Amino acid sequence: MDLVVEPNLHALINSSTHKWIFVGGKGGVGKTTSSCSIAIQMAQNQPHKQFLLISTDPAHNLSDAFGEKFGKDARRVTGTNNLSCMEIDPSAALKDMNDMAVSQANENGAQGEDGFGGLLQGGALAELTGSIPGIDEALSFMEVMKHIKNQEKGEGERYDTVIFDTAPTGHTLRFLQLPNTLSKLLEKFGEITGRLGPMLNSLAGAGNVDISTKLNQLKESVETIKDQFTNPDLTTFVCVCISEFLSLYETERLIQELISYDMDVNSIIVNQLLFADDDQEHNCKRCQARWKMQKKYLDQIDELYEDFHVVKMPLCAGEIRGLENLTKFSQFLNKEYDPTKDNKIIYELENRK
Amino acid sequence: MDSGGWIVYLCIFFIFFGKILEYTSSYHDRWFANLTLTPEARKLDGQYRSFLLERQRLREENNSISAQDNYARWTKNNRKLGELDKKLNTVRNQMQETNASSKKIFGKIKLIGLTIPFWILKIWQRNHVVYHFPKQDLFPKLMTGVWARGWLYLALGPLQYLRNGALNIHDYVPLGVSLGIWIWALQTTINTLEFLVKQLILTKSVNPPPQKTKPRTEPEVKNLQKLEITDDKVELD
Repeated sequence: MDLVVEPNLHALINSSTHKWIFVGGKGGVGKTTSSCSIAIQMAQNQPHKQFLLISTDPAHNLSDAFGEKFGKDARRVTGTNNLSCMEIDPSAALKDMNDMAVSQANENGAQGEDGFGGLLQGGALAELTGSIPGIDEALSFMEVMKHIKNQEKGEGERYDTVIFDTAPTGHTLRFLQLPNTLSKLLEKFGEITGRLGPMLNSLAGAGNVDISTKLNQLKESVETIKDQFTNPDLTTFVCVCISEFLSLYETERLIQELISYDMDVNSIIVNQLLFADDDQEHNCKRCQARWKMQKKYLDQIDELYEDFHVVKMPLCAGEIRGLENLTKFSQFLNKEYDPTKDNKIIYELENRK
Repeated sequence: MDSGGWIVYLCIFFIFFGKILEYTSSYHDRWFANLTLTPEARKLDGQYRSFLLERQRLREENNSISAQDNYARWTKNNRKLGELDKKLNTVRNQMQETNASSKKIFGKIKLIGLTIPFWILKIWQRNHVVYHFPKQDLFPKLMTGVWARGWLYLALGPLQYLRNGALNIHDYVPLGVSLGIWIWALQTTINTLEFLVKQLILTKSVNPPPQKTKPRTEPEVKNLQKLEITDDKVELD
């Protein structure tokens, strides 16, 4: 008997095991709308669980999508009981680290403007590190480590599932490579500290920091993340694309890369579809021509990804912003969009002021 | 040349056989593969050839179709190409492992059969005279000494001069060209000829890049001057 794969994300939305869900794809294909929709649907279908939506894209859109301001700390979405959002802000996080370094330097005896504290006054560390390539990914990774530690210790707000609204493909792949890269790096570093451990500890003795212990702790955390990210019951990646050549090409590249990282990927959301055949009421020639092109690529997607959940989402008449519109739109992730029955909803979104 | 002709012929054989091996080094892998006639090596060779043919076919197919019109076919081919590249890499590594032992044996044979005997011959017969000079004062004393005793004579020359007050070549009778110097001269000649053939015949000439921009000429400067705003009048299209 052939296994039929449902053209929706019902299984994922109702999944009780998934802890990390990544949503990614090429720029401008609707990653934020899709990640918000997945988060809303999960929150609605599993009301007893807590969900966190994190934007790791340096150009954050979550605040715009929900129509309310989110910052570097998780904040509950107005009108929901179990969905929070946060936008990782590299500059703010680095400023905090800089302030901490200043206070620590001052505590250790460097007084006034002459000491190390004085050197860091005015956010020197933040300015220096803020320009390092990949710092956004590193900070996102630190956030993941923080959540895992919180869960282990039972401290702070505990979230059952974290959904990542990721940056465009290149950034995301770099972020997902981090556990592997760090793991290898720490392994090499561990070998060196094994030989030079006492000397390194004596060098860092002034701050009473045991370097090898800290490295071992970091290595354990990285290994945990690596294990969790490669476990298909805990982590999955949802690819978002539009029915156009370049978007599909990048999706294929993303999928192949994810497979090479041993990450689970079995869902594709195809956004901005016109379904013009079933929209005879608004006889738009341009839409029909464009839909014909979209159908050509949809057929190719079906042929290429036959064992994937390919979810076909409509292009709406208005912007999908605010909890209400997002909720209406997100229902098609749980139950696939039917162009003949659900056509009205596309125009309902238009009326929002 | 005296009765020691066999020494010269043996040296010529060593030099030219070494050169043949040098020129054919790019074919050695294939020869070893053919010589290693184990069933496993033959199987690997067959696999490698079939994968290469398949990759060639897929590449040609992908180049002949439009990626946008046949996206699924094009992508499937790309996936197959990716898998084939991995397989080719694996088979190549396995073949290299199989060939490594043959290469090792060949290296030893070359060392024992060619390099070491040649060195022994050169050291043992280094003072063997290949050519005799008809006259004693055909070359300057220093050169005559070098021809007969090799480059070491040049290095020891100052010491001998200090000890005897002059360079004495009568010690080196019979006067002539020793085997060491003759081998050096032959190898230098072959290497120079090789260099000339490579440079003059085998290396393709490189044409200078075409000049893209014309040097600015007088009329263009004049045209630029014409573009300057000289009055406030605006003309309609």
